[in-house]
Amino acid sequence: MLSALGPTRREFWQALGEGRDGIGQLVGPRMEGLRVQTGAQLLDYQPGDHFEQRQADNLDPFAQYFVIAGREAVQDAGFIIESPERVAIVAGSAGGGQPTLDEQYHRLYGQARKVHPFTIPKFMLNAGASFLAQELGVTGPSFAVSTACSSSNHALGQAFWMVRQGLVDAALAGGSEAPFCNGYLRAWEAIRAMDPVRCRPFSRDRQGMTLGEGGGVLLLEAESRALGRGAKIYAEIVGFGMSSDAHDLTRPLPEGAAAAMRAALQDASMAPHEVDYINAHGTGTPANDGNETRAIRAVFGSHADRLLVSSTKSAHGHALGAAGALEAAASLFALQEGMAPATLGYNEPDPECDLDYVHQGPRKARLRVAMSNTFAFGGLNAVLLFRRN
Amino acid sequence: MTKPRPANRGQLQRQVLEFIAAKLNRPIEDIPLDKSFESLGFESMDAFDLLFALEDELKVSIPDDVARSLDTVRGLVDCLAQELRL
Repeated sequence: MLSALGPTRREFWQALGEGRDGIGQLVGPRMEGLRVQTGAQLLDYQPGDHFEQRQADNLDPFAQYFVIAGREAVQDAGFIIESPERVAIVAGSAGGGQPTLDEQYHRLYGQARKVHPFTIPKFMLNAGASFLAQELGVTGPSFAVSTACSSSNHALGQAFWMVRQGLVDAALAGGSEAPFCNGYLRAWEAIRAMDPVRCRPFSRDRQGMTLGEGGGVLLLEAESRALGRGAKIYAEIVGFGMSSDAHDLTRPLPEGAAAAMRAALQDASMAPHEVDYINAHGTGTPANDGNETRAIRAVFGSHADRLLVSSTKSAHGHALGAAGALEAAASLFALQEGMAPATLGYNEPDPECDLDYVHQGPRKARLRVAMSNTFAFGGLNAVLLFRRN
Repeated sequence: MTKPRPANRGQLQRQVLEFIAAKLNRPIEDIPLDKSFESLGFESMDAFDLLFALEDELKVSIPDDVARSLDTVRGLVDCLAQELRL
């Protein structure tokens, strides 16, 4: 995985353990005049460190991030592809190749008469999945899932179910996003969901989100196979739940979020009191955080007061379609390290948000089960449950 | 930097070969005129990229149906020569 917290999982975990964030002043072409001036960007990223020039020319940054994360997952897992038709790749992304579109439309509406022929293959949301499949020789089911900010969780959930059902032996799943280009940032500004300073999840003075970028991929494998080959196992995915608010495009409904959390618990045959930690959707928008708190209370009842809840978007930014993948990694950090990551940027309690948000720094705790929430624009909710193995 | 418009078919052919040579990272002499782009090591997107760059450089526009039928370097040079009336 790669994010504003660093180029691999190691740096990501290290930053979470130290309570550091990757949010800073926005850098990039044509950024002047934006109201929002901060973001969680990959400042040291160089495509040439990962791709030949010709490959880099053919891949938008969002697809590059997916491929790099996929390579790391395969390597970290020591996974050797023996039956390529029994391996799946599922990639989540909200916006696909936005930087490519931005650049080409800038040309088109400026001096140039036409756009580059790579525009479509670079933009398409399955670009990362396709490249990774070619590179690894994976011939099983490969596809992209796009459900705005829930994309990665939907991707991971689909992959989890495919492995559990025995449709494939293993799956590389997660998501990636590269939102830092003028047009896309302006679109986010226009929807008035951004905090001009930095996101402050669950804090009374919160004003919106801070965008992030990056990619995360998990290698999912049936337990028996993973144990059989002596693989390093971070955790077991035990449940996945989805729901749709069927209500409003941008105004979330607590009932929808609660339904997805309940569905995940049901999928895992697990009771609410078995959950120890929730990696919240926690965008820092006025609407989400109160809504999510109400939904957690509805699902967990009195156990909600014993839960540790944090939003790691406050560290790696809201990476939209990659959010679920980064936050899955944060949830695995929590389980493996026995430490709930902190909610950064928190300034003052909000009566609407009355859970334990771990806002005074990362906290050591005995954590066995973690829930990871994502709730998307369009009212599409996807929740994963992880258990320490 | 945009090169001057080729004055004759020989110059055009040289220019096209230079483009392809740079793209494939091999000497011009190793690019046979009558071999298919595929056998030269072009992937599908490379051909689009080549046409895009040549159209830009030579200030011509090759119709889609013609572009799809181009298979060899010679065919491409013929097509461009016709567009440029060389």
